[in-house]
Amino acid sequence: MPARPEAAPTGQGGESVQAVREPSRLRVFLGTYEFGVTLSLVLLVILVSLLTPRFLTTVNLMNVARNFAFNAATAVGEAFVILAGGIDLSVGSIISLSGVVTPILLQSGWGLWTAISAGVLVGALCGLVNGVLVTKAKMPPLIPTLGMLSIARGLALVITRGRPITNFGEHGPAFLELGQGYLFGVIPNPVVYMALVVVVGWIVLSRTPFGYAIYAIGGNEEASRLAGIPVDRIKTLTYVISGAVAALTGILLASRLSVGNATNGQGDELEVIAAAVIGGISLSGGKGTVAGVLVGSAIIGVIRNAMVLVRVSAFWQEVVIGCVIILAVLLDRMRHRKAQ
Amino acid sequence: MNARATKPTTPIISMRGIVKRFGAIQALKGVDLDLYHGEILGLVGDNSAGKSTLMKILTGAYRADAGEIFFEGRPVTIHSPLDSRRLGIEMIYQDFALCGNLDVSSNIFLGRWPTIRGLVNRKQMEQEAARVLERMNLFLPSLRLPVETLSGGRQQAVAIARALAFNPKVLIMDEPTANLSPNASRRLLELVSDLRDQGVSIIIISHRMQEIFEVGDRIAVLRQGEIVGTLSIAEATEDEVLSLIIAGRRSTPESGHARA
Repeated sequence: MPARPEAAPTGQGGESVQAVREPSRLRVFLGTYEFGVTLSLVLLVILVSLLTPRFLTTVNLMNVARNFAFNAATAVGEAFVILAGGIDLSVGSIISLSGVVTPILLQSGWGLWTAISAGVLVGALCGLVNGVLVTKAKMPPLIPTLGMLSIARGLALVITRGRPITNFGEHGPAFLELGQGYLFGVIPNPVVYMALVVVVGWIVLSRTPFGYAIYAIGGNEEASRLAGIPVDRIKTLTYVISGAVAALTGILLASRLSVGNATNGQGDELEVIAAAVIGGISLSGGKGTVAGVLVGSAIIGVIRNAMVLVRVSAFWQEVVIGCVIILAVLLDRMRHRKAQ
Repeated sequence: MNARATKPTTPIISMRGIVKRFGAIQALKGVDLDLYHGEILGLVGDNSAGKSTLMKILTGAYRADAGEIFFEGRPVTIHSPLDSRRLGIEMIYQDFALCGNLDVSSNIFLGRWPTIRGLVNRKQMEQEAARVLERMNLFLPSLRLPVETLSGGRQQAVAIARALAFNPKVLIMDEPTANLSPNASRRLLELVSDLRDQGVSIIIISHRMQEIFEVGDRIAVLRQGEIVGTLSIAEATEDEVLSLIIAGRRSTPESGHARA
């Protein structure tokens, strides 16, 4: 055990040895990844607004926010899984499955909230299956969630017979209001939803013992087990949370688009994971914050919007997003190599 | 073979007939081990003798295939690390078993974070972490640094503080001095003696025989999954222990052909 240093050696450059006081919060904040990525977002916004004057308008910004709100919320759920050292590839398909289950139930006369609850439950069940396969059958997370990606999408196609659902029954207007309405007449409901998910996710992850355990498991699963943390139960719960949030997103997305369609949310898993990684959630687990996820989602949202505004073809947009994803993972790798 | 089974007190821990198999390999073949109140027991043996396996059964990391464990005379079931920690058994692992991404105080309270109204009470946690470190004369520059940024010695300080934070009755240390400088090893051994004097019962797994002879009271020798001898340090010599480790016999070995 190193003894307490009597005095800091003076005149030597580099690190100070006598660091009895905690570093100031401001200095800690300025050194965080979240600060760096927020700076990138600001620079990106400046760049895009110089490229096109149509970007910095209230209407457009609300549009951007509404569009990335869905991904940001899903990404917060996904962050639970990744922070605990897993990955969930099935969120895009759960978005579509729950996005057709709830409309179909509404169509057949279910009440608004029971239909929504059932849709969320379906997503949570998908997550439960993922979690049990990872923790009990000891599968690498890629496999069951990839399987679930196919299963959930397939079920959505089976349920709808491949046709979009546009009739939401007697509760149709109330259902559509959820995704298309505004809070206080200005804030789009999806943005409110995102804000709620972000705040709840942030508190749970950064303040509760459950959140601490998720970080601990992502940092060192074996050590967490030895410390008596119920590792399997907590990992399973992260998949349930990811599935439930994706389901809620899917239901809201169906409402926003006025259509429950098995193709809703297709490919969203990649964008969601990219948002999390850009936001500083390490794919090796245990590192990153919800604040970062929010900024990461915003960056992807701004890039998408900018490409539309400067009329990049929809096909090229996919290429660009793909490159951003690879770049983000590359940065993640480099950051962690440096840390070791 | 038991050189010394008579001690005035009852054992705090008795392991009886512990068997553990890994597939075709029988790692432990019916091991009996006693740990008495307030003693330091050295546990030695070759690399695959089963020392760590035996200790992991005591801490609940592994489950024994057969055998019984008595704690303060009562039979207990230890099915998880939580069971063992609840009894007051703590282990300091050779690799420290820390979460490198978490800060010092979160590691000291790993899995037992103090809460207030459902949320982790950071203030209480940091204050108590500081108190534990101070009581052990362990010093760390900051409690908010991720432990992966700390040196090996400081990481061990965190691991020790975690083991001591909840006043354990039994402390198990796996190769505690393996990664330490001679000076740091000396301080650690002093700490271990102090803890024994405060009534903590301690098991040390170590390759460094002279350290066990320095601080230990008794020494148990494991060989190929069996206890081949338990000696009182006061009456044994290092050569005797070595011959037990190598040949499983107490007589002076001709180790040349005794090694399997």
